[in-house]
Amino acid sequence: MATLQASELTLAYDKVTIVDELSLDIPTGEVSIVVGANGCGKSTLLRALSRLLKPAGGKVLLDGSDIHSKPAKEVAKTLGLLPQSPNAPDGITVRELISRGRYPHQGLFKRFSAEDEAAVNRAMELTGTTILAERSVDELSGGQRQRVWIAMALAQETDLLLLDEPTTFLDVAHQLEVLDVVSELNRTRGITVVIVLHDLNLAARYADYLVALKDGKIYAAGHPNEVVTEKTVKAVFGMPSRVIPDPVAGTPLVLPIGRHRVLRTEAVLAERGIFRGEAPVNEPQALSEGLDQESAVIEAEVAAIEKAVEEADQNTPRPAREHLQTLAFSTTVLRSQQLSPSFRRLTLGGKDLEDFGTNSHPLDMRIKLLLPPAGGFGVSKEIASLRPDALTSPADQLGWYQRWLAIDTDKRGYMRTYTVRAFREAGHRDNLGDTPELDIDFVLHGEVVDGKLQGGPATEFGDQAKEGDSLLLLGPNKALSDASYGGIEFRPGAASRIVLAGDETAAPAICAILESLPANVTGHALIEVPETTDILGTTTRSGISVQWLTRGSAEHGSLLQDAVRRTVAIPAAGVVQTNAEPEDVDVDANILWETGQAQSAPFYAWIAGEAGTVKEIRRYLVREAGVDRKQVAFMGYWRRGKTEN
Amino acid sequence: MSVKTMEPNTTEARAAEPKTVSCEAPAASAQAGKNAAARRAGRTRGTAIAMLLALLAFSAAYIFWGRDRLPAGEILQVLSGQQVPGTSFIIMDDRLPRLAVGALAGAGLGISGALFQRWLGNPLASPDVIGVGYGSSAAAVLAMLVLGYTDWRANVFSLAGGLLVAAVIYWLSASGKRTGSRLILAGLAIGAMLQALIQYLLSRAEINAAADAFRWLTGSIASSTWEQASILGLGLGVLSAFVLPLVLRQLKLLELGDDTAAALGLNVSRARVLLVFLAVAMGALPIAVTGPLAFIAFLAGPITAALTRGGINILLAGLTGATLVVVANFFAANLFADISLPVGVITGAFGAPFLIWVLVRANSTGNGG
Amino acid sequence: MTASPSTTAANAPHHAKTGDKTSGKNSGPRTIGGRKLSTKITATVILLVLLCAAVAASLLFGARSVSLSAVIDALRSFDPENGDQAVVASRFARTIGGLVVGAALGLAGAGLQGLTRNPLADTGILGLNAGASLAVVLSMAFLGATSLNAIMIAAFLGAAIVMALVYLVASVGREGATPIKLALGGAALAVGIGAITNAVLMTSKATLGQFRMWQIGSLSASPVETYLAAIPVVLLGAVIVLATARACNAVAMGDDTATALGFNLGRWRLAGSIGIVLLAGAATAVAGPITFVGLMIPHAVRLLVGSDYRWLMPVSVIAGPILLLAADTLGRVIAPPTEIQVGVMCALLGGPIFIIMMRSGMKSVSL
Repeated sequence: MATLQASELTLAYDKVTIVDELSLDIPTGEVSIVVGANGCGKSTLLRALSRLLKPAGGKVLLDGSDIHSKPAKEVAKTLGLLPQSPNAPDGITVRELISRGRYPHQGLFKRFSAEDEAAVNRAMELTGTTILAERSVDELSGGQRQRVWIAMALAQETDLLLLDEPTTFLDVAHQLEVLDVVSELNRTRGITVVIVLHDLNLAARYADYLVALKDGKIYAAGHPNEVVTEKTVKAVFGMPSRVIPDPVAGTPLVLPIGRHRVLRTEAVLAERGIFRGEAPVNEPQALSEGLDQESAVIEAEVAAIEKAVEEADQNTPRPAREHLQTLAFSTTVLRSQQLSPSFRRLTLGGKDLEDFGTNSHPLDMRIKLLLPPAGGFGVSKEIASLRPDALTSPADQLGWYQRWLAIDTDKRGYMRTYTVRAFREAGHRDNLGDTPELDIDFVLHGEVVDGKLQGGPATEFGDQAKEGDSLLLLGPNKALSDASYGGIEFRPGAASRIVLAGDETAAPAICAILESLPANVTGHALIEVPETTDILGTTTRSGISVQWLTRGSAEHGSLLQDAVRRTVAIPAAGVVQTNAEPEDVDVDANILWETGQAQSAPFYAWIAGEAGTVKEIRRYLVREAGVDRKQVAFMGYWRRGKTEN
Repeated sequence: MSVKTMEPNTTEARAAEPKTVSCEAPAASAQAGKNAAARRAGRTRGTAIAMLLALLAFSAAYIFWGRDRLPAGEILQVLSGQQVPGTSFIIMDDRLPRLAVGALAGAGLGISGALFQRWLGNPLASPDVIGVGYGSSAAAVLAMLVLGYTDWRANVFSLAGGLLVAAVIYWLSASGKRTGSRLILAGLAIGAMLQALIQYLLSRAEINAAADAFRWLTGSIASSTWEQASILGLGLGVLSAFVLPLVLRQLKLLELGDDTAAALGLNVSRARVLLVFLAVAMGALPIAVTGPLAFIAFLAGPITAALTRGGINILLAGLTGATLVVVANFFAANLFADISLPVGVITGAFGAPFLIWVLVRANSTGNGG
Repeated sequence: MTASPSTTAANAPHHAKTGDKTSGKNSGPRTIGGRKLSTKITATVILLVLLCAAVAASLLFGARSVSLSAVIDALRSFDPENGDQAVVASRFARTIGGLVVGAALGLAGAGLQGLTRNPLADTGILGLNAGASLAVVLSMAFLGATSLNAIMIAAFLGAAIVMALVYLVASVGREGATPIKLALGGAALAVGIGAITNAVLMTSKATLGQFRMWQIGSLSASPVETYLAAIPVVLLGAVIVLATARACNAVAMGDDTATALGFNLGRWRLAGSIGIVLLAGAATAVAGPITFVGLMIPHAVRLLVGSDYRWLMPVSVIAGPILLLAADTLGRVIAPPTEIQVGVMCALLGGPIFIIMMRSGMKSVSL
């Protein structure tokens, strides 16, 4: 296989340096794509790589030796080039044109041999141009013509194929057609391909190795996933953008951000309560966050709060703590403690927390954390106005969540719901500081890449948080809240037999509930965690037996389902009726979130975690065990296979 | 045949297509393609045969039915090698050499023009339009009017002048990129200068010498000799035998554009120099002998392209050039009862409408530049 | 002009940087497009001075040198018996001719380049001269035309027909009349028309004798009355062409843009063409075909006053005669006692300049 390298290559036209001491190894057998802004020197680089341009300094090495020291014909046997806009002579047929690619293999007096003929036929077959063979090139469509030119370069039978903007002037379908052909050639025949392309998204999709040029230098090179970042796009094209995974190919997809249009539209629409693309219910969630699909819940909560606010004085600004049930608290990380491979406990404290609390001990006190985006963030005014001291009127606060949602996630960050594992006022015996503090357990899910945990924003935050990091949280205003604030998802009512089931994402909540349950309650807590080491010590005064299920290599949720089946007999205690088919919920499209109301029934079940698992357990409990729907809470925190964004 | 069925855009489409279709469509179209190829080859052959027939027919017509008609029997006798007083001279020393020179000059000009046209991808870029022809003319006029040469030395001057001017134009345009369009521009400028020079020389000369030079400038084969024919034949023959095959091979790459040609391993600048040399030499040789025969170089290529409905075939253009001159010669000799016009007048006058046709045709197919 | 170097020198210690900048600006082609008003006025004044110098040189220099006083005497009170004064009289005629023809050709070139957006547009290159020549030859050979008016009308017709033909032929096709299509089409038509002209000339030695003198382009062939007679036509053509300056500015941005700006291009082109044909036809009729003046003058003027046709066109009127008179005077003194006609001189001077412009990569001369 031929290798191609540029070594400290300097290229200039008329003393104007275009490419400056550039070194590049073209990965053999892969598709390399060179991208960059207009005039960055990408086409010039390709000309030099293909021996068309003599470098002003440095060398191009073909198979290790200077390409200019080799005879042109020798080079042409190893390296084929499709220039940007080749011209086809009038009236030439496809076959004739492709045959001309055999020139390097022919001698002065050697006639067109059977071998040449075979190479031409192969080239036509590979590019799907066989049926066009006798047509005139003039009468072909743009995409066909480009395939014919590729066929001509292929007939050269080289190990290396260089293409200069092969998709220029083609419509999008033909662009894909051309790149598909090239990509197939690479996969099936192992030809090393170098393409200069200006469509960044197509480049990201087709490249094995992406080279981003800026001002004649390599700005970034590597796999598209590494190269195509918002930072690179900004640097190379001078354009702000969002980079999201291409929903079709999984490669990075660049969404350019104009200066006005996008943001303005979003803002206008948000004011009217219309959301494009990213409706509030589909607020980006992390696969591994464990706390997925919560936006709707948050929204419901906020709506309730707002409803209450509506009844209050609407327009007079006053400190938020005087009229808002939910406040934004600024905290700093006091401690970070790794509980197990999958759990990390952060202790947060701050003066703001003096306004935090419910004046009671709710079973499951849930708060929202505002996790910063990758590049950090400034606090948006929507959140700032929730700070205890912020002067604001109830009317101002209407719709703040919608407005906040409309902000680019880059700027606003992410909102996630967590259970407060413990809240300690200043002066509590375990609180050594002089401000109140609380504990939050983070579930760490993701992959360790280069010694760093990569996952959703919460996972990454939890993993990387250091002492002194600040974190905003939304929680109950002590002055206006009572026991009804927290634990809204756990309403056992008068039940004395309880089943708690969930995966690791529900573990902190289950632990918190267990700790709060009174002694007269019995039942089971079933918690499925990834590894044995993730089994946390739990304390409970209640008579509930806690069973930790270690998943190991079993499928997510399967152990939990089995355990629920074993625990809840058929028919279950206090059964109302069996064989009641619960209405189906498409857990991929909608949120599975059913919470029962406070009941007098003796049995209560609380199931949370991955939505598919929750749905299976729900079906079992409702249809087969015949449990009254009012006696259960089903909460699909997240959905397996549904990636963030 | 629908294009869509022939080129499924996605693998799904390819897979979903019934097997029979995907097997039969290419087969059928390959068959159609073969037919098309055969038709194209047939058209080329047909054009060649028609040209050859026209060449022979007008040659015969010129010999047998021209003005000052001679008895056909005597002509046949002469042609079979017998001596017939008077007739022998007219046939062997006037009409036949004239035809030979005319056909050879036409072939040379036709090939010369077609080479330029194909290389530059522009049917208008023939040597007479872009100024190369003026080099030959100016040198010859200089030789005739200033140096007083009227013999073979004028021809040598003309040949040398053509090559020299071509070299200058090439040198002026050859640096850097876009040689093609710069060559056209430099040629136009040089051509205008040489025209002014010719006019100056004509204006200064004595009226009879000026008229002679003018006659030469118009292009004539009236004074052709076997000697001229053999020189022309030898020169063109050597070029065609030894240089033309190589140039034709390289032209096939050059016309794909410089980058593509270089990527296929061709030494572009060397190939270009060789091509320009050959094209100019094949055009300047005939001009040196006959004077510039207007439009032959310009028209031969486009006419073959139109007749074969394909690209310009160089050799066929040569044949067409020869035929054009022979046909023009017949009309020049016989159009007016009392005066025999130089053949260049006919090619010029009859060429003009063709010229406009070529211009319109070139522009409407987007090859005018 | 003379003041500026000393000013710069005086301020040099304080304004070293400014000085550098200015010199950089002057040497670079960057400022071709827009020019300061003062620059334009300065350039115009300098050209006017040069024009006066060219007129004086044309009157003073020649194969026979004449004293300044003789020139002044001849202009005051003409004495046909006085040899010196007779020479002055003939020089006076060709000086008037140079002024009229130079102005006409310079403006015609600017108009052609503007309306066709073609940097190569020139009455010679576009075949207008050839058309005029053929018409003149035909009128000489078949209509026995000898009078100036007849020749002038023939020249108008010939130029007009060729102009229409070249433009029509070049307009065929999708891209419209591109510069190279116009140039090649014009050159090709010129070859064809030349062949027909030759064919006609072949038949008559007398016509050849008359024509070869006319064809070469000369200011010495006609009496002063001829040139004066051409003045009204040139004036009319000039008014028409100058009126198209704004349209030319719009066309410079592309036909579509010009149309979008509200110019009815067909109408402007027709009007402009009539003006150009009047100018070129009149010049060709009285002086014979002269190439390269119409090509070079607008390019040179563009370097001086920028590409605004409202400046470019009037200044071309001044610059055209300078070139023509200088070439004519040079042709007189270069090889005494014979003269090289102005048409030849213009071609010999213009060809190399054109090629230099092309090779130096001047954008306006590339295709």
